Amino acid sequence: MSDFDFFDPDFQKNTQTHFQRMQRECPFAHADKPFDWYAVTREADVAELLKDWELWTSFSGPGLANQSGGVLVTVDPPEHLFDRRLINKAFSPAQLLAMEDDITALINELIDRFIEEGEGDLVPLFTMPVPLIVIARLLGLDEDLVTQMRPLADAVIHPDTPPGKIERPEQDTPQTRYLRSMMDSRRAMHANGEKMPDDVLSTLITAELDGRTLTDEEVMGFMGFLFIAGSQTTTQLIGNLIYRLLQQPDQLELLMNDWSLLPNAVEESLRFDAPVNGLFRTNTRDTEVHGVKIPQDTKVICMFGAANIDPEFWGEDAGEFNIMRNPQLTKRHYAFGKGIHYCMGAPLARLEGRVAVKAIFERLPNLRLTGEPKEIAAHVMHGVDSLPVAWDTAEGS
Amino acid sequence: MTKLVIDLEKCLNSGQCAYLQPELFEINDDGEPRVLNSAPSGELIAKANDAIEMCPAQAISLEE
Repeated sequence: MSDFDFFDPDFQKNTQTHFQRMQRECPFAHADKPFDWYAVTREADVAELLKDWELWTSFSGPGLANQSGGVLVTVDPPEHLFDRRLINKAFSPAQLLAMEDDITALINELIDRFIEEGEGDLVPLFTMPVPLIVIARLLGLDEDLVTQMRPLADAVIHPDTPPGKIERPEQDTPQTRYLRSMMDSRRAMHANGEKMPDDVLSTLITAELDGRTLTDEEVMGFMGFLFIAGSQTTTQLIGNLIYRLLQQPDQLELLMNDWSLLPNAVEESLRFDAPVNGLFRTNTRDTEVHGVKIPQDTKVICMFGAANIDPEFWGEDAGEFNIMRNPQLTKRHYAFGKGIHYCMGAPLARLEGRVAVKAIFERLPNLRLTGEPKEIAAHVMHGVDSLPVAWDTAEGS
Repeated sequence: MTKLVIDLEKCLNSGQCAYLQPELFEINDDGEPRVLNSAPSGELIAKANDAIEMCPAQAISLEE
C-alpha cells in the first residue's frame, strides 16, 4: 500500500496539496512502485538527510534508478571534492558577474527573433532556448548542436524512461561524436601551446589537481552532466516565475515598479515553485526514520519542493507566493539542495533567471496569458510545458 | 592583523565552508555558518583562502 503516487498526473498538477498532506499525515511516506521507496517532506527531515551524507549517500545516484560512475551528483567525498574544485572556478559568482553583459546580450538577441510576432508559446520561444544558448557559450559548444542535444538531456527526466533504463547516454551518437571531436581539437591546441578560449572545456582540459589531469571519459562525463544539469532546470525556473507573475498581477506590479525586488522574486520563485521536486539519497546501513525501520540501500527522496512550503519552518503564509517575503528567510529554500551537494550552477541559474525575467517583462509590453499552461509531465520536475501568451507590438500600438 | 569574516547578508546557506574547512567554520542548527577561528595563521590561511574561493555566494573574506 502506497502513501502517495508520485507518478499520478494529479500529483504533478496539485503538487503542493499533496506535499502538505504528506507532511501532516505521513512524514515518511511509502511508495511501492516499482519497488519500496520513501519520501521525506518536512523541512527538518530534508535538512537532516542532506546534512548526513555518510549515512545518506549519493553513490547510487540522485534518481530512483541506481546510477554509478558519474561525476558530482553520484559521488561523495573524497571524489566529490575533486569534482567540485574543478568546476568551481567556472561557476563562481565572480566569473559569472563578468559574463552578465554577455548573457544579457544573448537573451536580448533571442527576444529579437520573436518580438514582432505579438503572441506565442514562451516555452519553445524563450524559456527552453535561454539556458541552452548560455550553457553552449559557457561550455564552448556550438549553439545549434547544443539544441540538438536537448532531447538527450530531457530523456533523463522523462516519465517514459523506465527506472533502471536511465543509464549514461549512448556512447556513440552524432552528439557524443561532436563532443569528442571538440575535446580532441582542444587537447591538440593545449599540446601545441596555443591560446585557448576561456570556457569550461578549456578548464577541464587543463585542470590539474593532486598531480593528475582528467581522462577523456571524465571530460566527456563533465560536459554531458553540466549540460543536463543546466538546461531543463533553468527552463523551469524562468517559466515558473513568468507564469506566477502573470497569475498574480499585484506581484508583477510591485516588481515592475521596483526592479531591486528582482533577486528576492527569483528566490521566492525557487522556494514556491522549486524546479526540482526532490532528489534521492540511499542509506549506507540499516536505519529508522519516524519509527519506520528500513534496510540498507533503500531509496529515499528529499522533497525540496515540500520543505520549501513547510509551515513549521516558513510560518502560516508558507503557501503564498510573495516577493516581499523577508529576503533573509526566502534564501533558505531547498531548491538547490543543501550541504555538500549544493547546486554548483546556482549562481548561474540565479543570474539567468534575473536577466531573462527582467528582459521579457521590459521588452514585451502588456504581456498576458492567453490560455492555461500545461504542466510538465516529468515527475521529478515542477514547471510548465507550455506558456501561451500575447503582448503588444510596436506595429499594433 | 587579518580577520576571517562571513557576510551573512550575502550568505546563501549552502554549507560549503563548514564542509570544506571544518577547522574554520561550523553550521549551527539553523543552517547559519559561524567562523570558529577568525584569526587563522600558518597553513590555516591557505585553508581560509580555499573556503573563500569555493563559497558559492562569495560571502567569505579575509579583512585587513
